[in-house]
Amino acid sequence: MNLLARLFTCLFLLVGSIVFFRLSIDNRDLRSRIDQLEAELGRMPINNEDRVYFAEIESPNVPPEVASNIERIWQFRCYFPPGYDFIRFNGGGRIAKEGIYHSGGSSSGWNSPRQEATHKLFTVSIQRKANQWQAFYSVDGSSGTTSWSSFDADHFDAALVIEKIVSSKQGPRSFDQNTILPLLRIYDPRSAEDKEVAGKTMATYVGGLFVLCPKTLESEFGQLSRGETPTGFESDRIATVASDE
Amino acid sequence: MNDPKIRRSFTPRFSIASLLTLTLLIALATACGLAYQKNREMVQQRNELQALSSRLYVTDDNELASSEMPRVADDFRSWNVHIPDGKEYHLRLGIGTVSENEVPPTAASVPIAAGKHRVTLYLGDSSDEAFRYTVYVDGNLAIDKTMGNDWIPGGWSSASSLSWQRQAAFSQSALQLAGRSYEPNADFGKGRYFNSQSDDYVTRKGFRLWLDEPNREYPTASPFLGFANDPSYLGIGLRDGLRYKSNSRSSYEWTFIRPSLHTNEPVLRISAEFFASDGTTLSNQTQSFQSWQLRNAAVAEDSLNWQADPAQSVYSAFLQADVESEKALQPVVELKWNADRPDEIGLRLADTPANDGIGTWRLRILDGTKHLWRELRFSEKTISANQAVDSGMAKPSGPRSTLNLEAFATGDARIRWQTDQTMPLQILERRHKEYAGLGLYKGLPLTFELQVPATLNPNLSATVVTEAPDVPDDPLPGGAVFDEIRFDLEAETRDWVWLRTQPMQ
Repeated sequence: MNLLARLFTCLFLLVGSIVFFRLSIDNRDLRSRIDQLEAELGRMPINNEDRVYFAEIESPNVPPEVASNIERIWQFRCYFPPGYDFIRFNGGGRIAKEGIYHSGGSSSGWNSPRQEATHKLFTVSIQRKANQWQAFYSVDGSSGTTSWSSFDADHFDAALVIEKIVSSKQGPRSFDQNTILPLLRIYDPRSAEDKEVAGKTMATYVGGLFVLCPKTLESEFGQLSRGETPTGFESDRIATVASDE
Repeated sequence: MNDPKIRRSFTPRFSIASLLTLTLLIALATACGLAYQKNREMVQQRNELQALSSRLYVTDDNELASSEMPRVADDFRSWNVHIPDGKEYHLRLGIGTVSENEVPPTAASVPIAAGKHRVTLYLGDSSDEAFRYTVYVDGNLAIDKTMGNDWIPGGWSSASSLSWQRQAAFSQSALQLAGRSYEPNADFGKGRYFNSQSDDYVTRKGFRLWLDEPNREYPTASPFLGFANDPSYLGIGLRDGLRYKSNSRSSYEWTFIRPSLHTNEPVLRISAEFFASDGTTLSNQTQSFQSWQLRNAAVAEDSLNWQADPAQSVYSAFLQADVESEKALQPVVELKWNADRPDEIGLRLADTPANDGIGTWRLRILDGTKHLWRELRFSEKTISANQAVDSGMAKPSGPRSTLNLEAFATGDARIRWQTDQTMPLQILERRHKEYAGLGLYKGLPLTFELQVPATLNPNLSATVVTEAPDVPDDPLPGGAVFDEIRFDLEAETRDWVWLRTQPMQ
């Protein structure tokens, strides 16, 4: 009996040691693989699984033969919590410095919400084609292009203001699911023009913006994009800018 | 009895060594548990990151592999690819007629060396760019093919991705990178938007870019749909022609679709009735009717399963009535598709003993109010639905009138019918509020035709309606329509009836 117990103990120790050794090696390889991937995609720890996370990828991986045809590109690593239902909006024309007022051509769309949390890339690029600026986005298998015809410059110059809600310098940011996310806003400060919008005078600029809006705020989004203020809407439900480029 | 020595013998005793061993075992088990938990978390994290990354992970060095890079522009797509050693491979661009089960003719083919490469495709697929397709390998121009401005006259309205089929005709050792089929633009003028729908088994113009052995040939795709690997929910018949497709909402009626006419909704709905000499009938009123079973032969138990044969240009399918009552008629109807008659479908009572008791049968072609059928033509003679009502030719019976056409059919009967609208009815329904809510047919305007041989002694009639379906006393906008075209046929002769649908001239 004693001998049997010792035999079992030895066997347990042996098998346990082998399993632990194998798992340790496996985990070391996984850590190395994850480090490689995070070097490419950026680090974005998810501390609260109910919030939406974004991290800007500092140097998007773009082949040179493609990069030479694109004016600018931004890429964001995103975490969408389970059931997160949002509208994608891409519009060019006249916009305001703040908020999501927009007048001009636009496209919008949405996917069915997923039951599980998802990690995605959100890519935005600006391309000059047929003498027009084309704004492209791609996220979660969906993509779209909108002409930003109001921009008449031949190239994106340094005077343009480019604002994002997240920047590679500041690192990842998380947002409540009920926040409207103007992911990227570009405008030309030299094109200021006062316009009467919804009974008030507003400074508008030639530009465009990409917005993610929770589906639950669809009607508020419509009002805000027309320059109106929905009753009881608090301005902190629109994400603020992270930094200027 | 209370001897303390005896009591002590039952008290567990541990040596220092056994306590240490136990501690070691617990520590090892805990360490393994924690390492396993960490492992699961890291595997999930790695998988999530890998899905976002464009890195290519090759699991088998001997097989082609690819990983698409995130799209950064509408007109560029890039992949990281792995080419196995020891075999010659080409990067091939095929452009031309294409469908889900067709590989287009190779427009350009370039060798690609073993190892890892980056392939980029530039899609200048518009008339403005003369349908230009450019392929780069590791940043160097490899293929540049221009099809010309008028390759797709009028341009295209939507493009769908094509997959590489898992069937014998497609090489499983090849690897497709991209494939696209273009839905041609149906332009009906400014403000007349036409919403087109079809499926990718319809032959259209498009391209495929794939990695393959240099000289592999791909046969022309069969014009038929209904083979083992084909999706049954897309119907059986001709890919570009009429397809039989069962409809759960209308289980008695036979429904036919023709997606090449820019809609997936039924183009034809037929309700057949069968009459035996002893008074027994089978119709949509027969309570014991269960379903129509699709079979390979008149007497067969297994479901339809066509065998692909490139030399075969004619395929048949048999519809067996599944009726619960043994005394009820259980007719078998044969459907026939002929690749040389791409707009037609043949119907006849199958030559089988199950049909011997049937004296006559009737084909009721339904849904005239969806198609707004207003013109009937016999050779040179045209009758409009309004004319039939106004002249008293149609005998009224409530809001419906019956028009007997027997006098017009002599010899082999050939009858055509169509709407009086030249614009697709979906545009009419959208632009004119009086048509709103009628649920009109969504495809291109069509001409229907039925040819019946004199041997079947056809007796033709039509039902004319002046009121909108489901809305009594609400007149149909534009006047009366032929709601139903009816053909009574003798059952003794088993000759073919041919039904044709084609876009209106």
